[in-house]
Amino acid sequence: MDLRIGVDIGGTFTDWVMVDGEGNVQVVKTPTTPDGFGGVFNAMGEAAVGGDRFLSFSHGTTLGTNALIQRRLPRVAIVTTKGVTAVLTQAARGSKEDIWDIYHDSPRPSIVKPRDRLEVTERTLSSGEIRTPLDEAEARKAARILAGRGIRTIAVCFLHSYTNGRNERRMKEIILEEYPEALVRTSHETIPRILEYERFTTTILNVALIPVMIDYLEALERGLRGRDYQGDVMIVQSAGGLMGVEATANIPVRTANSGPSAGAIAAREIASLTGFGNVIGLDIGGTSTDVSVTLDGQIRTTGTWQVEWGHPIMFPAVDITTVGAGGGSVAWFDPGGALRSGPHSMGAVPGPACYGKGGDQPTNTDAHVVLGNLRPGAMLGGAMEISAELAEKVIQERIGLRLGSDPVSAAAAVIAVAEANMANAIRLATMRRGLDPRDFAMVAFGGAGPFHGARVAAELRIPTVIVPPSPGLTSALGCLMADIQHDLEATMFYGDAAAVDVEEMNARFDEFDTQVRAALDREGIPAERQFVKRTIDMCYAGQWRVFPIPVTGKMTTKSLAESVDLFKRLYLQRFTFDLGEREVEVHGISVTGTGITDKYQPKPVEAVSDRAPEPDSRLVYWREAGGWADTPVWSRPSLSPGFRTVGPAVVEQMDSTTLVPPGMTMRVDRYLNLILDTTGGGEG
Amino acid sequence: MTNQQAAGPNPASEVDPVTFSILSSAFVSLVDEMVGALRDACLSFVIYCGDVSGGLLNARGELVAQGTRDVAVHVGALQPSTKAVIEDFGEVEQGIEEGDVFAFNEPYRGGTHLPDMTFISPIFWKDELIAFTATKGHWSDVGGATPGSMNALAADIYAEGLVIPPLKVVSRGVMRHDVRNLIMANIRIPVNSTGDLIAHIEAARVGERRLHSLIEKYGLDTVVGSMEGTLDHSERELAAVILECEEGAWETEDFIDYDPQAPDEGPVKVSLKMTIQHDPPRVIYDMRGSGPPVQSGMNGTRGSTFGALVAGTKYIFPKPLMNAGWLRIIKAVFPETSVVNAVRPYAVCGEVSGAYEKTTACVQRVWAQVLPRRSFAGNFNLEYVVAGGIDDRPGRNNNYFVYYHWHTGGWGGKFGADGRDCGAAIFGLGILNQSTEVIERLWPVTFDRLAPVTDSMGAGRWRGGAGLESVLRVENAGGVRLSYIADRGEDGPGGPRGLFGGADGIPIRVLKNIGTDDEENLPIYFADEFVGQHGNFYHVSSGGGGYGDPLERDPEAVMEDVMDKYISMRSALEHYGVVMEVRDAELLDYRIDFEATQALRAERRAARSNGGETSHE
Repeated sequence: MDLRIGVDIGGTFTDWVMVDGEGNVQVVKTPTTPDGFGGVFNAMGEAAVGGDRFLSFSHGTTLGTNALIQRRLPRVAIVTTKGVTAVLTQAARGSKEDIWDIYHDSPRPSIVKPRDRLEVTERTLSSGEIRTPLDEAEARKAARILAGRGIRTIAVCFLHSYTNGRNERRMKEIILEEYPEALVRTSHETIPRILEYERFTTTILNVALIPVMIDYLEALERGLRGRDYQGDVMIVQSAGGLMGVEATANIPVRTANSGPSAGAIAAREIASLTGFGNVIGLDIGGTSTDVSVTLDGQIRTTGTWQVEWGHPIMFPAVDITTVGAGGGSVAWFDPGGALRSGPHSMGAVPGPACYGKGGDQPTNTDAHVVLGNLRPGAMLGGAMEISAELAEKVIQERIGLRLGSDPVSAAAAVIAVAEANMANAIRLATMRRGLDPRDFAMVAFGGAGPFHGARVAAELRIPTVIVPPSPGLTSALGCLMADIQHDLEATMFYGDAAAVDVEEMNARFDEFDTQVRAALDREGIPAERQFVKRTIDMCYAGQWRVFPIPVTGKMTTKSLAESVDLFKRLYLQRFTFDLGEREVEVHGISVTGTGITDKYQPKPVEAVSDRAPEPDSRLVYWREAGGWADTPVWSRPSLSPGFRTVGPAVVEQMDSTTLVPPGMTMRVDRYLNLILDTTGGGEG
Repeated sequence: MTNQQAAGPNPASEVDPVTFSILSSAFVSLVDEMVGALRDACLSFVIYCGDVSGGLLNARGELVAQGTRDVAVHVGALQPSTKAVIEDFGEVEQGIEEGDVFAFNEPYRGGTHLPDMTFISPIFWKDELIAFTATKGHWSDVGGATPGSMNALAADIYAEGLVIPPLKVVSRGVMRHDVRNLIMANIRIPVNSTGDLIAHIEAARVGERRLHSLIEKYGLDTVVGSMEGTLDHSERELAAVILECEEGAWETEDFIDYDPQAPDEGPVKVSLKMTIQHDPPRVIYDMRGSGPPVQSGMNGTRGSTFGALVAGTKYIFPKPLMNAGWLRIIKAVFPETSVVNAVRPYAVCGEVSGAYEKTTACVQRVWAQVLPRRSFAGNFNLEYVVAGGIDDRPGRNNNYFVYYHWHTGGWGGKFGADGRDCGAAIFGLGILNQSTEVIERLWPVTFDRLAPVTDSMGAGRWRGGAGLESVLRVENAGGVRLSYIADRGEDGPGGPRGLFGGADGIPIRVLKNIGTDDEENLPIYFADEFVGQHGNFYHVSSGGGGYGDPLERDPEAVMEDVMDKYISMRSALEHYGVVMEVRDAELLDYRIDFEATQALRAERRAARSNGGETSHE
């Protein structure tokens, strides 16, 4: 047992990464199959290894994302508080993605049809007081109707259940009594947090994904067992930690953003080895640019995110800023004649024009071919043929003619506009949140990240760009770099912090503590590798913004008062406005349990070759220099630690191409990362 | 393309097209960043939920860029507001200086209604004024006779609240405490508003920093040149789509239900005649047929009505970037003084429900005659529900509270699709409906009901979306006074209008203390209505108007609508001519009698052609 397996099941390819005890990395890339696990087993077959050699198996998957977007979900019903169903009709709280285009209806309506919304009499108040207990006769009738309609997948969503889940719990019991085959989830057990639209939507999406994910995980587990792997199957969550099959099957909605979050983990780990705690992950694929931010070694997460606009998921997730700028993004002119790029993408099929598969729109990839950035001819080991002629034709016809320029200037313009969009995504992820990009290093990955990383970094004055050894496989490696994580939370108290029953709070903390440790035990994490963090959520009375305040050990009246002071200081820091006179309320508590795994750590390599590598060369167009330059083209596998060069330069490898613009310096570190210094005279 | 005089010192033609593309997007994201900073840092839930907007303007006060999710009603306002600052301070010694922030809300010079507080800040580069930024947010209260400053019965502007002409609150980067204190002394929730004020100032700084960083990178001439170029570009974008429309003139009209101070005089007309011409490309909106100003807050100002004309046009042509370049193509002709261009001292607080909403509805309807597949049937009318009183809940220290809520409602049907259910009002689609759980936590109220309404929408081949009904109950609060401003109520000419044979949505209805002995019908505009402990307020908002002949709606879709309680069985039969049998409603076992449906629909059509009654425009 010496192999650690990381698998990233993307929309197009399944990336399989194996790391042995020596730290040697082996990779297999196979097409993703519609069922998800088929591609995994194909890759395993191609890798020709038995499961008995696996030490661990972790994977990221887009299965949940795709099921949600394509709505390949079971029919779901909701049982809700009588009379207050408007919220379920107001998709996205009544707002729209494009606020001006009446003919562009996004969000789509809820996955629950109005006919499958059943109402029961009950009412809980914001204080947690139950004004009206559940009407049990109505509840039984609703359960029987659901059984009659044969709807097995049911969400129970009552107002204010986050403060008191009693009515929801009773409703669930009654459904299960009347209809034992039903799969029922209440909103307070899914996520006990205020904001009914977000909580209900999360509950609905989660319960809908349960049957989908259970089918998938069972098939995957069965297949791996049949191939002699007896260990745990781990899945990367949207928040960046790993979860086992059991936990995932219970809250599958937490894995819906699995792939991008694995990429963020990898970016953090790679940069950390190189000595950077502040990291911008720039992951550019065929259709989009995903930006993640790590500050002081902590990946920034968000409390609410969405797979589809207007359908929020209330769990913590790596805060990914996405723009539609990738290799397949199409360049076009708006009615006023300005050049624009994306978000429309030609995808993998038909793909960019240069693929020769019928694509007739100018994409970033076509522009790269025209500029000499991407070598025409065979690609991905001969799996694909790139035509320079088709690229030039589409750029000239669609862009050059309109700009009144030659195809080269047109292609340079296409790339400049696309890179401006990528830079805007980073601005949104950093400056918009008060972070200065100059304090960060960038990890550029994904197939197309290394094309753009240096220029986008220079634009934002990010001094350092790190290109990992296998940019296209970075997300799969990220699966091997994550720890196990479980978190629990409860909204418990309202009112003045001074009036909180500290003993009750301690009891609840202890209960959560026991629960997360038990989950970690089940996943085989020894006690000395289990770490549990506690936080208290606080806010000013009359306010709705909640800050998590970290605490340790047993709370006392005194330590709670100190936490209140800390809250006030943080609030003042954030809003530069002192609400000092107001009462501070305690909102709830949360507990996070982390199980430290035996992670893959890239091993430093010594300089292996004393023979200087020999570059090829070709003409590449550098817009910084305003023209073509005969440019050295290095083969990535030939570069050893300590290698240094100054741009212009191109570094080629099977799954990616790195551009080093004129004046920037590049070196290879002992982890075989390319380290680009953008301050070395490269123009901004 | 037209030639404007004095296009500025840096002709756009000198900026290369690629840099221009990059900068024109950067201007929009600059505004989004400012508005984002304001929403992040504000203390009012209303601003947090999106009743905000922002803009980047050039040194002449012309709008260069708006944000992507900004409130439509603010669209036309930022430019005249900024020009008011230039007018008052531009020629004065130490008038407009680096680091200044001006407050402003004066309706007649470009503000909207008084609660919409605008903060305008100049941006300098090496001692030269190069641009302005502006953010605008709806404050919970700006004084006046009623809590929330939405007093429909105010006879003049002075009863509506504090009127603020261009006023320097920050001078060369330093807050003028006396000025701030004067504002705060005149409004009901000074703590929240002080926090909002600081958030507005912070947003201005965000915009300034971003523009400075663009100048550092691209140079002053390129940035200023691109700001000019953005206007030319938007003008070209709009001209291109206008040239695809036929030339001609079309007209329509709509009505404010009545003047609350003079209900007997009946509906108040808003009239719109649109002329499209190609050389030069122009859309001319002539409003000279509109009625006189009313003696209450349903009037619009010239600025807000012009904003309605521009925003209404943007709904038809959503893609072109909207800025001052549009104003070279869209022209408006106003009467001397009217309900759509009232002057001081006419009251205006309800303008968005009144004149503004009627104007956008007219734009929608007049364009339906030109581009039937871009326009849409009538939407629900915006309502303001504003309550204030003393919060008697434990731990709330008997503080004064002001609760302000906009409700959602049904949107009109459109070509190929039904209207949206319970959507935000057309004045600001970026606005989020406020969470019930948060409302019940922040204010001493609860909802007994909040639900979509069966048969609230107009029937049509594509029907309107569902309206909403609610029952708001007062809990643990004293002296609660409620103000309400809407339009298209039961006593007016009708609900949102259908299009091309589609039916109208239902009118709005409001009651007090529903289901009790004290139940009482309320008018569509009222102010200072006392609601006692546990008293309630009921309202039902309209569904949207239908689009196209309901007899052409797919019978299956009609059956689905019955299952989903959008419509009743009776409506299916009466309006859609669909004959159905219900075998088991609980198990959703419905059957369509296709033969009977066909026969009934034929009969209806025949009766119609005999009667000659259709509502095609």
